[in-house]
Amino acid sequence: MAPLEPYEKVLIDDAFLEEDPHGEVTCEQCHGGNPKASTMKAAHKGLVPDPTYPDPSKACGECHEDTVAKNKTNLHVSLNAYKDIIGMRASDKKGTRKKVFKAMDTHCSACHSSCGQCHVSRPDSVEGGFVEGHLFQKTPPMDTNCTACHGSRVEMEYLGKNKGLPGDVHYTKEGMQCIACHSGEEMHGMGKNYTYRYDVENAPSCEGCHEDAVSPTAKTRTHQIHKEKVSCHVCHSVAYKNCYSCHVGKDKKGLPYFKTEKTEMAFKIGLNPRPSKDRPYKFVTLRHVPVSKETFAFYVKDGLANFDALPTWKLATPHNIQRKTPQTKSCKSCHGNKELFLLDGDVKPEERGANKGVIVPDNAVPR
Amino acid sequence: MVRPEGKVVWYSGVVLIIVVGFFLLWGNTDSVQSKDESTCIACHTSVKDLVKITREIAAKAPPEKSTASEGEG
Repeated sequence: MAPLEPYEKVLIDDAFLEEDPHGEVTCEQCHGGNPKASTMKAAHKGLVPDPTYPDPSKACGECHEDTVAKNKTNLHVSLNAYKDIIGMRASDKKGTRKKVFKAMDTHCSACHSSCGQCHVSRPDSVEGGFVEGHLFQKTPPMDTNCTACHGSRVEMEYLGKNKGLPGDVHYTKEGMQCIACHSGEEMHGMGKNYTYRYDVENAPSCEGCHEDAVSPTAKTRTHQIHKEKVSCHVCHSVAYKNCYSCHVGKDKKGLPYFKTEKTEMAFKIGLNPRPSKDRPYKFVTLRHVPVSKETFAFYVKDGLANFDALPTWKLATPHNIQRKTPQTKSCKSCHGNKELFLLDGDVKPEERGANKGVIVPDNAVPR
Repeated sequence: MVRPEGKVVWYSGVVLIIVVGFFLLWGNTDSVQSKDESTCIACHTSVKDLVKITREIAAKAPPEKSTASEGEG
């Protein structure tokens, strides 16, 4: 997404003052600064550009008490899942661990959101700027906010921007926006800390809408046969993006950078790494995440000493759902088709230990 | 001497004037934030001012982002 022109980022629409209830609050009440000053420098003294981060209670809490109460555990704000997952892979040595978390703060923590970065501005990660002249957006727009962060994978899949691959049927046929499945309640969280985003209890599920598809009286025979054995995505999604080998560091000027290897479009079915009540399946789609043993090597040696604690091929819910896919053509599309399954040979030797729980043994490929 | 009915009419008139006056004043009150009173509003609603200022800022201190980054984030 192209960034806004610098002036556009801070241009307030008159409608904000005339129509938006938030426009009744004076600027300095939220942002500080001095509205009586005659120079820009003096006016901006003590300015708080985003008064909703890290603590939105002063700016938003008076009216939106319930939502603000969940802010600390909101995954979009806290990035708790990232911290927990990196923590599991990180070395047990105190000094090394500290350096890993410091590097993570420099490189990964910038991707958090805030009330303002969803409901007023574009996220900082895409250089910010008002979405609509500081008018508050009850529902953050998909194209300027959701996909600003969830772009490389979700946006490309959902809108059909991956070459040769169709967009998600929920978008191409029905024009559904993110909010159609991912409610505000889910986005704000339930006031609980989660280590895995798939544990969020009010997250959407296919069955939430397609209840009949997996009911005991389901008309589709394949649904009757496969339900609880394979996730919906195994049959109804197509190839998706996999990322590899992210390395972070600082350049000669001291500016942080990242480098990732070339991404790869692939479709791999593997063993479910974390079967649960909501996802009891034996087989699920797996996506390779960009972490590598050397991700933080610029900062610290053996930073991720417990790299094998978690798989690098992780449970995935590709956003490119189709009614008909190469897998739904016939039984033989999957049964006996080793190409579709994550086998030992598909995994880099140095990552086999981490992925032993998700690699499908040769004799476990359905015949 | 004013008769009791006259007093009621007189008081009603006063109350009516106050109420009508209140609504008229309330309706004409400017927004809490006006361009005259707040330099924030005056500047941040002016495209011309913002273009000039943001160009000056960019010329003095261009935003720095490492050019060493490679691949998809």
